Amino acid sequence: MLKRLFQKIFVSIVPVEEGHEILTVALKNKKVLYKEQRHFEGSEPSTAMNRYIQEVIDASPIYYISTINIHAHQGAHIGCANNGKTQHSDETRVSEVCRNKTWTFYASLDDLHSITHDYSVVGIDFIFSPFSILEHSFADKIKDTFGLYAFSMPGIFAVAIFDRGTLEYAHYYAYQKSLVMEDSSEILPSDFTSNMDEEEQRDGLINLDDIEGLEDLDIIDDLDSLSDIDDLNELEEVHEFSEDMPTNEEKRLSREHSMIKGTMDDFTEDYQHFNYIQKALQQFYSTEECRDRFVETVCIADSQGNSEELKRYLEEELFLNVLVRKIDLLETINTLAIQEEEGR
Amino acid sequence: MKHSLITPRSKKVISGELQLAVFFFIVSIAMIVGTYAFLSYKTYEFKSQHASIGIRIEKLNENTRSVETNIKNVEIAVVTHENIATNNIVMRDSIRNLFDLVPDKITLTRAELGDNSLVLSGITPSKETYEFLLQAPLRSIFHRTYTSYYPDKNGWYRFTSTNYLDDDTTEVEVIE
Repeated sequence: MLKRLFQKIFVSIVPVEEGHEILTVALKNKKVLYKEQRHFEGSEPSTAMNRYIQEVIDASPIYYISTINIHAHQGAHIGCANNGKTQHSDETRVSEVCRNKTWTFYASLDDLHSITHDYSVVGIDFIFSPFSILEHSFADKIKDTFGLYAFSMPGIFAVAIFDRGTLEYAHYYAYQKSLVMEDSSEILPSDFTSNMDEEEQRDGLINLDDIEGLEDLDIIDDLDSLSDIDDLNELEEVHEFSEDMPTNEEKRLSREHSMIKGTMDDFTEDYQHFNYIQKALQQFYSTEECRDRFVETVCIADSQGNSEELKRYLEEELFLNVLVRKIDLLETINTLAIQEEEGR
Repeated sequence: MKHSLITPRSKKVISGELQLAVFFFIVSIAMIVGTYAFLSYKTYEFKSQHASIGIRIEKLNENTRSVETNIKNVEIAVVTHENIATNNIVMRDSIRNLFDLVPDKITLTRAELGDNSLVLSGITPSKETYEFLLQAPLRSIFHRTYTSYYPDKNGWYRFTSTNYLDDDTTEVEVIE
């Protein structure tokens, strides 16, 4: 009752390469009183940033500070182990959230503790998964469309395949700008700590750690047909993500990939994202959950606003229908925080 | 939680210090209201007692006034009684003295005793007997004495003696 008298302040924090972006939204009776976006330098929360947030939240006792989990150890899987509520498991050291009683996204408790420790001065109320951002950004598409959905922001890329609201595949990538791809969570596991073993046992899936050199690739015989060293480089890049027993579709994708690589900068994020999507498709097609379905639609929630090249390549090389939706990540996080606050 | 991987911190609209201040404020208000209610009750009770005591006082005053009236009446009655008794005593003594004055040879037929007068009528064997035995003591008592005689059938004399003291008030009592 008393809470209606106070304004609600929602602060979203997004760590970016150059520092932290902060969006403050003040609401009263669902009306926006003001919005303010600030940028603070420094990889760690600075004193100035903490002081700014403290000044902002001092205006009302009802405030919520939210951020996104960009750590590597997270993902999503099919099925729910709990009844749609946040569940912390001390055995697996994960926090899980069930969505629509059909799929779950999860994150390492250690990572969550790390985040809360990083922002311990001002405190954190909500930590959202990139899969939540993805789901929220394409809520209208996911419920009745079969397609691949992706969310990108600097340093992370989340991919999921939904069929009419049901999760079929999910993968989360956290990488550095130096292009060292960090394999993170896994598809369809219920426990990410044991995901790697399951991945190794699953037919048709790729484990990058197993690929040590060109001699491991079946396509090495094709090297004879290459005419110059550039083609060899292209071949390496293609087969870093191929399987031991590539299918015809995968070989086609690999050839397309090698062609694309010649025209794309290897170190651009678009190329990484292209690779991730291609790899996700390969992995999905190789699983039993594929059931001869073919992904025609790719929806990308782009918080950076630079996915036009990626869209073009996906359309031209993979013949996919690509929808790029530019999202304001800070606004999206605040929207999720508002939904969380209203749902409590 | 629908999306968040952690549960938010609880938000207290009222801070701990404010809660404490409000608690003491409410306690203070409650004490003031309680004191006010207690004093109001006591005031009401006191007024009720005051009213009943006032009524009792008025009744007692009325009783006192009636008792005082009765006392005054009794005092008046006592004074009246004392006066009457005194007068009776004085009259008894006067009558006793009067009859002591009358000698055996003279017979009184009538005596009128006033406050300052005495009228005697009677029969005497002779004028001298009357003059020596009765008129002489009367003259010593009264300032003025008047006597008239007229002979009776048997040779005696009937007399009427009127005696006065020099005083204005005259009450006449007739003794038959």
